[in-house]
Amino acid sequence: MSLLALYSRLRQGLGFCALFALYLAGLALIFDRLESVFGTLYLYPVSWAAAFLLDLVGVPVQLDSGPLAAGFCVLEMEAIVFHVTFECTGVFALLIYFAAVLAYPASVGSRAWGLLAGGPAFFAYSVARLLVLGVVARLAPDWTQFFHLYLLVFMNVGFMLFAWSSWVNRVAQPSRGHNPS
Amino acid sequence: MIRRPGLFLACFAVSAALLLVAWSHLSGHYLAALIWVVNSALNLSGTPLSLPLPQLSGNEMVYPGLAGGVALFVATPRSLRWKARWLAVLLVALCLLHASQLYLGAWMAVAQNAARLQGVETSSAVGLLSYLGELSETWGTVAGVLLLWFMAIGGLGDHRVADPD
Repeated sequence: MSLLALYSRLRQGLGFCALFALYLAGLALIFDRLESVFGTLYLYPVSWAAAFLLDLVGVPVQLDSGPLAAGFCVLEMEAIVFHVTFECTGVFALLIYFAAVLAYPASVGSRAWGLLAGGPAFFAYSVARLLVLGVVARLAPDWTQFFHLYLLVFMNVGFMLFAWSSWVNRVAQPSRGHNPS
Repeated sequence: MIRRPGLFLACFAVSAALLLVAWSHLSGHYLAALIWVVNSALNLSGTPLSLPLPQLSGNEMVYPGLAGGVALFVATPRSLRWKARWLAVLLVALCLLHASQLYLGAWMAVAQNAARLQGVETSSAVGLLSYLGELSETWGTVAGVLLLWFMAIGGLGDHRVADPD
């Protein structure tokens, strides 16, 4: 039995949820081993882009990437300092999205599309979240804590499921000949 | 499966916001109930430790993931019966998880203190529990809630769009 046939047989047997858990565990391990790479390729660019846009909309901010090796960047504004950690950048939601895409039974091309489109989408969304949070911290500082939790935690999940469901409906299912509508 | 992701996101955004506001008033009571249960369990198991009841101030809240998990199932386009069933499963699972985190945290504190007093290293079991506890307090709980959600919505991997009710 070829490796591909064996993988296909295993996949049918395990089902989506088990595969999702396995892929997520694998991606968590990769993240753990390559945390510094994620820092350089994702955390710092998200922090930089957020700082750039905050400056653009009139919220003066200084970006300090000195602590990047420790797993965070600093966005220093007038009245508040953000420690932009991996949680803040939505990288864990991105990994969960990747695991859900990989686990869903779709063609290789569809999954590749989902993975390639997911990175930029999450990047843009993460920058937008930090931008909104920075503006809230400037205009309504009492609401910062609430929006921090709402935007950086809750809406992460919402956006992740929105992105994944959109991919399933528009790419994965049509490629299998199933019209979701 | 979610046929209208945009509508789902909007519903989730609204329900998450409302539930988060409500939870800011309820989380203190939830924590008090949890601590009472855990202290009872610690007492029964003979562990020489009792958790104090923390005073939450202002906008402080604990276990916000519970509100988020409820919002997720509330926003999912399924029947009321489906939501009630899976919300019950979610709440029981999260309560058990939170109570376990508190109980094991207390147990590990006692184990680590005992090891320090004896001048020995803590066992690998304590180390593993510490790692799992840290994971569950960060994105492990989110992943677990999502796994439950994926199991609940069903119909993944075949052409049926499952609506069990």
